[in-house]
Amino acid sequence: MKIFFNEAKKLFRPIIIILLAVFIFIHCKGFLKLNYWPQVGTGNPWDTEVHAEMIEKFGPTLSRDELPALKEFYGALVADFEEEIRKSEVFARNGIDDYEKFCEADNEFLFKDGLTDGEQEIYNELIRYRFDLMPASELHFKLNELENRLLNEIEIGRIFATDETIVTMRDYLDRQNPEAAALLEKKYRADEMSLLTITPQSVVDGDSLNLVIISCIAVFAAVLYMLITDRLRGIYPIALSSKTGRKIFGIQAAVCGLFGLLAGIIVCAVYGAALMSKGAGVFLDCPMDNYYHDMWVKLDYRQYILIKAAAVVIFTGAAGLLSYIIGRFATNYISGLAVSIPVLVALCGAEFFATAHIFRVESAWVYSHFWSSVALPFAITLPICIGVTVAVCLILKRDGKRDIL
Amino acid sequence: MLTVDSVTKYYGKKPAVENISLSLGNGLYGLLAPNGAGKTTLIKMLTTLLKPTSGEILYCGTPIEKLGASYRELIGYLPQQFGYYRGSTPVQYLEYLAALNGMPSKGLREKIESVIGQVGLSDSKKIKMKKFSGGMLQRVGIAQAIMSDPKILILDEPTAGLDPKERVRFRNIISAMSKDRTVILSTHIVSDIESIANRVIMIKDRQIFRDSTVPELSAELEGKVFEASVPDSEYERFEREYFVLSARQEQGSMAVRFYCESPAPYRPAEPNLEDFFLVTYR
Ligand SMILES: Nc1ncnc2c1ncn2[C@@H]1O[C@H](COP(=O)(O)OP(=O)(O)OP(=O)(O)O)[C@@H](O)[C@H]1O
Ligand SMILES: [Mg+2]
Repeated sequence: MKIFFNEAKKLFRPIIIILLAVFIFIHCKGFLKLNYWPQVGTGNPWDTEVHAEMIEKFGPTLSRDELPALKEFYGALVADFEEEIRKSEVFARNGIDDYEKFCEADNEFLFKDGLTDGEQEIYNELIRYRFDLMPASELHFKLNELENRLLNEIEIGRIFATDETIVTMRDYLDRQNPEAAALLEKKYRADEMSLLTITPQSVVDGDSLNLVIISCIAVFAAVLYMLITDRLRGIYPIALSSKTGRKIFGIQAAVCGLFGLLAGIIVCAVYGAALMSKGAGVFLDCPMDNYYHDMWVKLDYRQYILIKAAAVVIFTGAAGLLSYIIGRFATNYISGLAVSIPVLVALCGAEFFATAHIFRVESAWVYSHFWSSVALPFAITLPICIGVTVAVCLILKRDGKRDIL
Repeated sequence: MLTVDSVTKYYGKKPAVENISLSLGNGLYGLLAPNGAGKTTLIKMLTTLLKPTSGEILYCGTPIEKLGASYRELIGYLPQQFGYYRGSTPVQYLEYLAALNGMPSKGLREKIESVIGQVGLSDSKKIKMKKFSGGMLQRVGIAQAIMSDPKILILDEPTAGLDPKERVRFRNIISAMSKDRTVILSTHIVSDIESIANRVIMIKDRQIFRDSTVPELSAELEGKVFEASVPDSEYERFEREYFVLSARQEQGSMAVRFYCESPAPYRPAEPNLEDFFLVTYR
């Protein structure tokens, strides 16, 4: 145990921890999608906000019975927006005094060439109402979001489908393979619909890969630095002829693997706290299977986050063992670095393929190869985890039988 | 009781030592051979770092490979090049190695203080080792080797970098320790072992060349070592004729100590181990 702690102490040196913390901080500032919360994937903050408001009102899911209440919620937004419209002199002069006329004008002028002076004036006002930072544009964005994500989808039968509305989706369903089609139709006809929107999910999707990249680089750097330094210092002859003997290698492998796991856990914990502080907490109970994201398993946002975090931790653990293997054979820092770069790229790529699509029934290709969407991630993840572990065991076993120095 | 039984070691296809057989009880064994003779190779096999290509090393009749940890626990080892942590103090370093050797933590602190005192580093025990001189480091290496009171102490060129005062101090420590344990000390510096070795083991042409005592070895040259004062003008011719062991410039002539197989018309001198070494590896 003491030996274990001694080896661990070499990895958890203050200087290494500080450097890693600085590195991770810089990386997070530069690459994390979370920095752009709440407008990732949508371009404005109100899309996410209107969903959060709905969740507070209706709970994590919307049910068929709540449709009138949703219409009411929508109606209230329209009323507020019309009040804003009536504040405009330009609209008043041109007889635009309700939401319907606003939309008509919008359709007419927004993409029209060769506007007259009068039309130009209306156009400018429209743009101001739609995109300037003012209460009117906030309301307009929210209205748009409700229409595009919910009301239109209900109309075409992708949400709360009935025998009449599902007809519009029939063509689409017929193009899928039978399993996927059945899955999708069941979803369209369901009485409940998740209120999860794009931002919370796409932030977690993008960042889980990012977190794997940062923590794997960090783990590789720390482990390789320790192992190669030990080797270059020539600490091994004494260590290997001590009572512990070649067990020291096994202990080091365990330390490296655990260091990887721990690095993953810390990174995920910090990230999770940051995610919650941005307001992702409202979405935790929402099912992941929603109006734009088809999933073949039932998971809510909380479980989805935890699974992604577990993947990060598993991969950083594998990174710990992989870097141990490289560190055992690299005789200097340069060769260690040279081997690490492709291995890291492969590892992060594997993580991306393994988790980005693991639960999704997404593209036509995936529909027609329904099972391959499940098999692919496992085909990547399992060999990596098993392979790395077996490799470490073999190396340790071989250590007992060969010249060591 | 350590037995080396016809051990051969190849590096790839190249033999380093061949058919080495030794029997080592208590006492101090000087392993004396020139550079590249295979001292370190033999020592690495004794410390389980290398596996003999053929042959066996036994401790009390059991192969050391089988004994594993219980054998390694008994040895103290100072490698020819030994590693240390630049940022740690000698005390921290010795604590680290004590853990590797499974030494009980009870009384460890005192033990460490005492070995550090033995090698004369008490004043520097709180200084980081990166600030140490070569000789100071070597003394830390000696301290770690003797720290666990090993039954078998194996030292690969332990006196490299030590000043004369420290050499004497070291010799005294080792000599005292060798009473009730096996000490194997490799060197190519004759004076390191001449006065303290119970036996001298010499390797030549990858094999054991001699395994005997200092007086026995010196005696082999009895009547073959001479001293003479040779005028400068004749020195070159003299050097061609005899194997010169040492020469010192004096006024107008050279005071020469040399080796000659057959009786020569010069003043006979008392042969020593250094003479034997020079003649052996001529
Ligand atoms: N790792 C190795 N691979 C190949 N050959 C080696 C290796 N180590 C040593 N040798 C060769 O084996 C022979 C014995 O080397 P060894 O290091 O045992 O000599 P030594 O007596 O300790 O010399 P020195 O006094 O210089 O330390 C040398 O010829 C050396 O070139
Ligand atoms: Mg050597």
